[in-house]
Amino acid sequence: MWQLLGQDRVITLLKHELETRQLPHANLLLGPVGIGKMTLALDLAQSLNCTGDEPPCGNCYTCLRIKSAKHPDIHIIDLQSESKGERKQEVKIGIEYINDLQSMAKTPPYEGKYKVFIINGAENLSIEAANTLLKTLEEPPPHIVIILLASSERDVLPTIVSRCQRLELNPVPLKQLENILIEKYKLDIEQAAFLARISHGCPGQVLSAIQNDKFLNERTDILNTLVEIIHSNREGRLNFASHLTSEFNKNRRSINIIFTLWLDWWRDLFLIREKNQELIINIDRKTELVNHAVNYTTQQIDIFIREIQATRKYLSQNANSRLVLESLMLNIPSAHISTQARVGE
Amino acid sequence: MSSLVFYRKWRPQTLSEVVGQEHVTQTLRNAIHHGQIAHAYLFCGSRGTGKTSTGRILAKAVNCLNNKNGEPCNECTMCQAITDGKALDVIEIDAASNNSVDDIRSIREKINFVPNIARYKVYLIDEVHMLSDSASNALLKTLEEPPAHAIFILATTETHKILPTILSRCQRFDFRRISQEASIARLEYICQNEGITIDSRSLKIIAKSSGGSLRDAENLLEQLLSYYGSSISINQVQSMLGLTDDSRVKQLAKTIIDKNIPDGLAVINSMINDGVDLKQLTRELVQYLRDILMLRSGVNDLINLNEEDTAEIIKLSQHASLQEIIKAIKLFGQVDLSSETYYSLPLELALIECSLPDSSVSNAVSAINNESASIPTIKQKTESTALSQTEIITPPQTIEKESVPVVSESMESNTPLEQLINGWKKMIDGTSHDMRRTAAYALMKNSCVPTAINDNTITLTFESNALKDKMELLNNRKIAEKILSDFLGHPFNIQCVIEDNQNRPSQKQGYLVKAALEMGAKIIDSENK
Repeated sequence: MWQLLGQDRVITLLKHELETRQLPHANLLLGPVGIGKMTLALDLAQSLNCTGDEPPCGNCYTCLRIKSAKHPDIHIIDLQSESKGERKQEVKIGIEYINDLQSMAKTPPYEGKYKVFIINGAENLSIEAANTLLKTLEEPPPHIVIILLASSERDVLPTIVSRCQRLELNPVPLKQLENILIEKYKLDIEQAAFLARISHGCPGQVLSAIQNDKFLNERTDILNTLVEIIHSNREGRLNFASHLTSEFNKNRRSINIIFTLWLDWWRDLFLIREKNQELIINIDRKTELVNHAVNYTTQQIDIFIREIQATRKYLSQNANSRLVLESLMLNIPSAHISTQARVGE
Repeated sequence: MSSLVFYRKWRPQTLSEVVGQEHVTQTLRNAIHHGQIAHAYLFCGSRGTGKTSTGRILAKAVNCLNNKNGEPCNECTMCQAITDGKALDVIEIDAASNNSVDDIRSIREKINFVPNIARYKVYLIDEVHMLSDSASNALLKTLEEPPAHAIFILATTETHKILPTILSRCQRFDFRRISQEASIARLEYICQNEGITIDSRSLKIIAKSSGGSLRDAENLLEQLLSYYGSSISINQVQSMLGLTDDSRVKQLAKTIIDKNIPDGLAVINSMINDGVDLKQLTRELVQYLRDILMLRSGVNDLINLNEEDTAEIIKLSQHASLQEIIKAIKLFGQVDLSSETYYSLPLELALIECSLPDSSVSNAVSAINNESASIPTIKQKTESTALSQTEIITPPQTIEKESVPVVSESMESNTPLEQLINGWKKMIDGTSHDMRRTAAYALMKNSCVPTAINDNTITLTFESNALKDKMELLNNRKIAEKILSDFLGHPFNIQCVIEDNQNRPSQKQGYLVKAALEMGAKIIDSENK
């Protein structure tokens, strides 16, 4: 059973390639977070080594060992695996990991049919590491399959991309994801529609939402604060900005979740304004959104969305986080300021 | 896997098989034929253009036992050993993995031994841009005067990272991006030998999407082969590449031109639900808008469309002004989908911005451009009304009523100056990045306001003498004039003056003061700086 959800095309392609034994030795899986890149990589690793009838069977000894990360021939290289010893927060996958890969690649597999190397986050390879990988990636020893995972092709060295089979995993279309959720996870229609929407077509997020409430609770918190901030005065906003700044300095990723939700919210507003209510994401708060939407012009919303995007960019470029966030807070189009006041600025 | 991928299986084995690099292969063939082999070659060029392959062929050609006209025979023991990567005397080094000075030292130590069986010892150093600085320098002397039996072949994608002293010691060959025709010819050859049936239009699409890299094209072909089997149709190629069907691109273009945001949003989202690749969609949309632009500007030769499409576009383009089309192309051309995990938003924003009225830029430009032209036409109108007044008595009143507001509108509420002031922020925001580092940009952003436009001169008013002097430096002047002219669409000069403080002392409050006032502060005292 392939564990990957909703990517029939890619799976069909890979099945063909496995059946005809023509799977390229290097594969690059591209797609947003939560789309199922790692799931697919493990699926592939299982299919290559499976001893059952219909690979990946998921039940044979090999498949089970791969699933529990105990197989000696499957090597996963990523940032998390590096947090040993004192170096906790690494930002790049260093050259030493690729050197390890190369020396491991020289020996035949211990018990499986293929050695599979999975590099999670190919965009995080350091320049040296990426270049070191090139020759191995082009002409590896037999019995080696390398699978690279990346969220955007742009951040991967072009010479690496050109040596791999590119497999793009696009967000799963809404209807299809809803159906999968209803059939496979026995959700009721409403909940399936809701989860499919807020996940942007990435099944990984839905699954984490089903498994524990943390994801949904966090979302409710963030949206509540958002509404609160929109209605608060400058003092409240600046306080919130300083709160966000300290959050950001503790953990850079947390703010991305907030911004994604904010973008969803404002996008919903313009969708409602432009008569496309059925497309909105936060369907659980529809009435609230409809009430809000009246207060803004489409242009205001457009400007603010650009503002959020710019803030995100500045933060990733290490601008002064406090200043950037404060400026974003002050630029929230407040519902009471009419259009005239904005033009006057 | 057990079978080789295409780019390894179909790696060219003779110089004549190397596609699209005739300037390189011909030179090498002649050099080998005449025995004039250089001791160091540098192959550079983008990915998938044949650098490593040519390097290996060269290694074979110089060592081949029965060399004909500079081509390796691929039959003798030497050639076969090199093809299999077993030859002792052809040493392929991955410079990215072996980039330290010690690795180069070991080359230096071994290079003096004569080759075991081959004629030449060939060092093929791939990814040479990754050699460390000291390693590159350690190589220099050897590279300049290697023993007579040694040949160096360096290959890289990034020439700019290579020491100039290395460059000057090598015979350099630049590998070009492979032209579409050459890629197609090679793909056809592979298809014949692999027993794939595919038509030439499909091959053209593949070649086009590979961006001049044969390896990418071969990868794609292989993917198609394993997905669809040995007979491939053009529809299959399109769907593999995520190409959309035309009709919805047209639909989307129509909503853009009609400024119909709701329908546009619906079209975009319906495409997402069908799993259309948005990057491809954007590309096609821009292409289509370009076709509209071309037809609209009366150029029919540069686009290849059938008559039906042309008629459709002409009908569509009648609703839109050139400027609107250009704006749409710009906005959609800038859409950057790769950075967003959240995927349709950039497209939706571009759609909205196309449709929102944006008075400041385009109107300011057209007003200034038309100012000289519009006044005479209005005069003509009034003259004609005057004439008609003498002849007919009743209708002129209606004409007068029509013409008067036109005059007042264009003269009073929308003077070029006001529009420039309104569009100022937009202009500052829209300034290109290299301009933003200049002092002139900072001055225009923070320290001055336009106060008058006469003919081709814009007056900028400054608060302080020092800032004004700074702006009047020739360099800064030029840049400021360029920014203004780019924004307004035709050349302007600038003139700098000092602000007359008595005129409007209270208006110029800093933004901090403004913010404080809004939060409830009061001004109790002020002093001049």
